[in-house]
Parts: sequence; C-alpha cells; structure tokens
Amino acid sequence: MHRPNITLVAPMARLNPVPRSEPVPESKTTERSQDDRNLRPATGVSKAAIEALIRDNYAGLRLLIARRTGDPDVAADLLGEAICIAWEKWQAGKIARPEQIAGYIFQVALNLLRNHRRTVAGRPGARADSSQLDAIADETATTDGWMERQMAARVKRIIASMSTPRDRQVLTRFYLQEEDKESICRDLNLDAAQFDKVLHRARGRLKELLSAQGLKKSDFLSVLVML
Amino acid sequence: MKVDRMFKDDPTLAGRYLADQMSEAEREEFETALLQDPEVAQELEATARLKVGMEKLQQSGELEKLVRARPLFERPAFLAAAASIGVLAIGLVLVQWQNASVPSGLASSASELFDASGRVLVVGTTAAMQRVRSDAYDAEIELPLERQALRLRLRPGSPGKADEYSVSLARINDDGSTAPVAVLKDLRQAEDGFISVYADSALLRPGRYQLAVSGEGSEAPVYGETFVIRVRPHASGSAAPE
Repeated sequence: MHRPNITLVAPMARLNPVPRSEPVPESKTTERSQDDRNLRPATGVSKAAIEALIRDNYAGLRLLIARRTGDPDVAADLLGEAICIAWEKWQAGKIARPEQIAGYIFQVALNLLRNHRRTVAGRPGARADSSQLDAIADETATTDGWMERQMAARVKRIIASMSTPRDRQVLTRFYLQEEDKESICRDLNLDAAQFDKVLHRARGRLKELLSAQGLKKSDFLSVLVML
Repeated sequence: MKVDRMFKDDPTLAGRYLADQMSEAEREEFETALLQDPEVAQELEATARLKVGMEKLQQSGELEKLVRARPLFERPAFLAAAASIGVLAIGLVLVQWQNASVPSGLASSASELFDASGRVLVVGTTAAMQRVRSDAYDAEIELPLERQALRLRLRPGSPGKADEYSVSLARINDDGSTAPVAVLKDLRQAEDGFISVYADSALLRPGRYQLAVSGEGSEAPVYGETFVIRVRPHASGSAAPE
C-alpha cells in the first residue's frame, strides 16, 4: 500500500471526545441506543486501523474541518469523535461492510461540524474571525502546512488548465465562495449545461488531488484488505 | 444509482454537500449513497482538497491572479509570437510553392505522403506518445535508413472530448525555443481515444521535437497535451536518402 511519509499530528491522536462547556446537540447519526452495547465479536478491525485510514487518506476532510472550525484542536476532537462513533457502530454490527466506514465517518464528522457551527453561531464571541482562519495553516503542525501547499499546487494546475477566466471564476465562486449555481449562471451569462460542463472538466482532474496525498483507488482497496 | 452517473447528472452534489447547501431530503438521499459506495467518499475527499487548496491559494494571494490570467492565445507576447510564426508560415508556403519536392510534413493518412518520384511512402515506425511526468521523453524515434512515413499515435490529455483536434510539430532548439515544422488540422479521435498522424521522416533530423495536440469542443476550447519526442539517428549512423 502506498503510504506517504506523514507524521501524526498531535491533536489527531486525541481520539476521545473532550468535554465541552456547552453541550453540542447530537445529530441523528450520533444517537446511541441500547443496541450499541451489544458489540460485534472480534472483527479484526481496530480503531487504530480506522484512524490510520483517515489520517493517511482523508487529509482533505480533516483540513477542511480545521478551517471551518477555526481551531485545529476542535477539528481534531470532531474527527476523533466521528471515528469513535464509527468504530462503535462497526463493533455493534450497524455498518455492514468495512468499505462503508469512510463514508460513515464523513457523514458523522460533517454532522458534528454542522452542530458545532450552530452552537458557535449562537455565541458570537466564540466565532473565529477571518484572520484566525487564515492563520490556521501556519499554526498547525508543519505536516499540515506541507499538505496544504501540496494541495494548493495541484489545485493551481487544475485552475490553470481551465481554458478561460470565466471557467476559472465558475470554479472559485462555486467551490470557494460557495455561491449557488443559479446566481453564478446569471452573473456569468451561462446556461446550466455550460456550468455543468465546467465542473465536469474540473472533476476529471480531481483524481490528481487524490493521488497528491495518499488516496488512490488501488490504495483504497489495499486499505480494505488491511481492515 | 451508479455513482459516476449520479455525479454526471449533477456535478454540484459534492460541493453542495460540503457547503451544507442541501435540503434535508436531498442530504438524506446523498448520505444513503455515501454509505453505500466508497467512491462517493472519495469524491467528497477530492472536493474537500479542492476547497482547501483554493483557500490556501487565496490566502497566499495567488488565486486572484490565477483566475484573471488571460489564456495564452490572448496574451500580447503570444500574439506577437503568432504574428512572427504567421510571417514565417507565409515564407514557408512560398518556399514550398517554389519547390514541390519539399515534403508536406504531417498527414492524417500515409497515402498523402510521397517521395520525390511520386510514390507513396512506406509506413515505418509507429510511435505511441506516452505522457511521462518526468524529464524523460514521451517517445523516442529512430530515423529509418529509407525515407518513410512515421506513424505517431497520441492521446489528447483532456477529460472533455473535442469535436476536432489540431496537431502541431515543432523542433526544439538548443536554447529551448521552438521552430514550427508542420501543423495538421481537422483530426478526429479513433474509437480507442488515440489520434494518428504520419510524419515524413525526411522532415526530421536528430534532436528534440515538440508534438502538441489541442481540440475545439462544441462550446469551448479543450485543453490539450504536449509531448516531447527525441529523434535519434539510425543506429548505423547513415542518413536517410531523399
């Protein structure tokens, strides 16, 4: 299996959720029932293997959450909690196949992030300002900064490969500024099919980003064998 | 639904999911697919990296410049170079007009290439261009002893498919500048995705050449690919006779 030389970032190692001063409302995916306690007998899947899967192959998820929360420690806690929940679900037999674990972690992590943002939105003083968000990459471990630079270099190639400034604007307005398709189309005088074509072209090049750090289709299969 | 089909039908799905822009019902449907198929998680991971990369570029101040950069063919330097090439091309056409024995260069079929006595050239080497991400050459061609039509197979690198493609051949000088050799237009991809062109071996001499393919889609130009080829003299050291 392709294993990039990545050192473990300290906050990622803290897998147990830390107590919060205010309770974060649980999404439906985090609700635990009596059934969860009936753990699946020895499955050969360890929590460490799941952590490694996420650490080595889902850096984008981790870094995106770090940027959204404005605090790498909070991000590590959210992701750690998602991994714990996924592992418990797997142990309880609620996740049928190991290849579903990554999707489950994505879902739980993003639900936790959504809940976290709702909580923070209710406490304006606790919200990170834009300068804090910009400084995250510098504040986090060197490895994260290096990974972000690698991603940026490849994204630069993807953007540069778009043939017109208009197409590049479509990408940045949709993915970065998170504007909706209709308003982008209206502003740039595009129809829906033209807009989709630009995104399809970019999607065709997204595979470069997966091989940038860790994840390749063949690697993913190897990970499943490991699990 | 097959994942590829799902994203083909709506390429905004991953971006909207990560931006939390889906309705409750749509999110539930998407999450069902996310749990069923690992490829959905991979698509989300790639999209997350795209977003992180863009934010990093914005943070470094590179993004705005990158987005506003005009395409190569609209830049003044390119236009000036194109004008120079145009003048050169006119000169070449005049020279060709005056000397019919000068080879036409590239052709879409071997039957369009003739030797000095008017016979169709024999098809010799077939070289497939394999884009390599290193300093190595994308293909190496040994010049034949006899004048031949060299078949060059290349695959455009773009994800989108163009209606028609152009292929241009240029010699790379020692100082890195290029000298156009031939251009061929209105080419179409074969079913296997490759485009085949034929080069008259008499046009080539040992050295480095650049073979560029670009396309024109139904709505916009299609990003192409450039290959670097090394042309070697024949192992015997003899030059191909005219």
